[in-house]
Amino acid sequence: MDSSRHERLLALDRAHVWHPFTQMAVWPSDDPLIIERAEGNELVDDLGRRYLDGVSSLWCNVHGHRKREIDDAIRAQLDRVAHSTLLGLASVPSIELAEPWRASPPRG
Amino acid sequence: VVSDALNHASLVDGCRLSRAEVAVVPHADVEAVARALARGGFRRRLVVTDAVFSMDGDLAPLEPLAAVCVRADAALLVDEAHATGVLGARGSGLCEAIAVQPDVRMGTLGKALGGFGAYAATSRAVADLLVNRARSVVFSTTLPPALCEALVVAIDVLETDPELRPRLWRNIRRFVDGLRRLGFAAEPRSAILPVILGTPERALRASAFLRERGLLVKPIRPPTVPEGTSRLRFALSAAHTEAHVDRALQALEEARAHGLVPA
Repeated sequence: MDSSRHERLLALDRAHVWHPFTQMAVWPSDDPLIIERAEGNELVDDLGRRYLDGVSSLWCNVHGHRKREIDDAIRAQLDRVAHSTLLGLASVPSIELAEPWRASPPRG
Repeated sequence: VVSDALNHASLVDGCRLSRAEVAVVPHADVEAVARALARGGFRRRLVVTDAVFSMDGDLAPLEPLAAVCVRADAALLVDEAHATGVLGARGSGLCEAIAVQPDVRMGTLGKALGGFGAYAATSRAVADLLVNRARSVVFSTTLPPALCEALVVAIDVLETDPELRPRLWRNIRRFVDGLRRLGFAAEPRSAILPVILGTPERALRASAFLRERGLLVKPIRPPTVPEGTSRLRFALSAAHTEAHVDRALQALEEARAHGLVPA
């Protein structure tokens, strides 16, 4: 646990970071959590405390954090290419994602 | 809002989202900006311009624009999209290069910095307005941590690698010198260097010719650029070598020999 680091990060956040969907009028007096890492369905803050991520980081991480299948796929893609443009070029994953059977919802 | 006719589509959309009255003025026409600002009946006026224009690579006339804005008590917004990492001693853009301080200096994190997202460097008052009223900010969940980390490193590299920008500018000057030897008008103003060929067919044929020689140079045609100014748009980077630049020039010379680009 590093409380001086925590205090420094907190001061920087209060001075420089605007938080969307957040009542910033009370933020400076609030005691915000500073997330540093995550495991499965738990977030871990900079002081090592663990929290159940009940809103899936605003429904953006519904499979949980650091899911092996997803992270491995991202790393594998990172080792091929992180970004290439679709302006006048195509890319393998964008074509695979756009395949009709992937994009259509499952039949009930 | 007074907006340059060649401003990028994102600035055009920004003007629309502002719901302010917009006056589009001819490209780089400072007199036209002054005339637009002279119209009465507005509480606040804002002049909006790209620093480097995306299809021509030319620079906004920032010094006279800033002077006109001061005289008319109007605000000036400069988008450094194609200038960040390219212009200025520290690589922060055109405003740094010519020591002009606009009211809002914005840019993207998605070009020279290699990530995505954007910034607006401005006064506390304007920043407060943006975070409270700009819906595209208010309702965004902002940048993911992995991207923030990538950008921290990108900015470090930009600040600490003394070779990056000199290498880019050596490439730009080498390419411009070569283009001039081939008879093209070219200026070393930015990393975007268009070779204007005229008709869309010409640009397409030249692009295909270059592709056969291993160079992917996209033809830019109307409506992106005006009729009669279809072009090849070269963009140089610090990652190019002298050999790459020479190869591009060699291919253009061959294209000219084949009658694909004007002699």
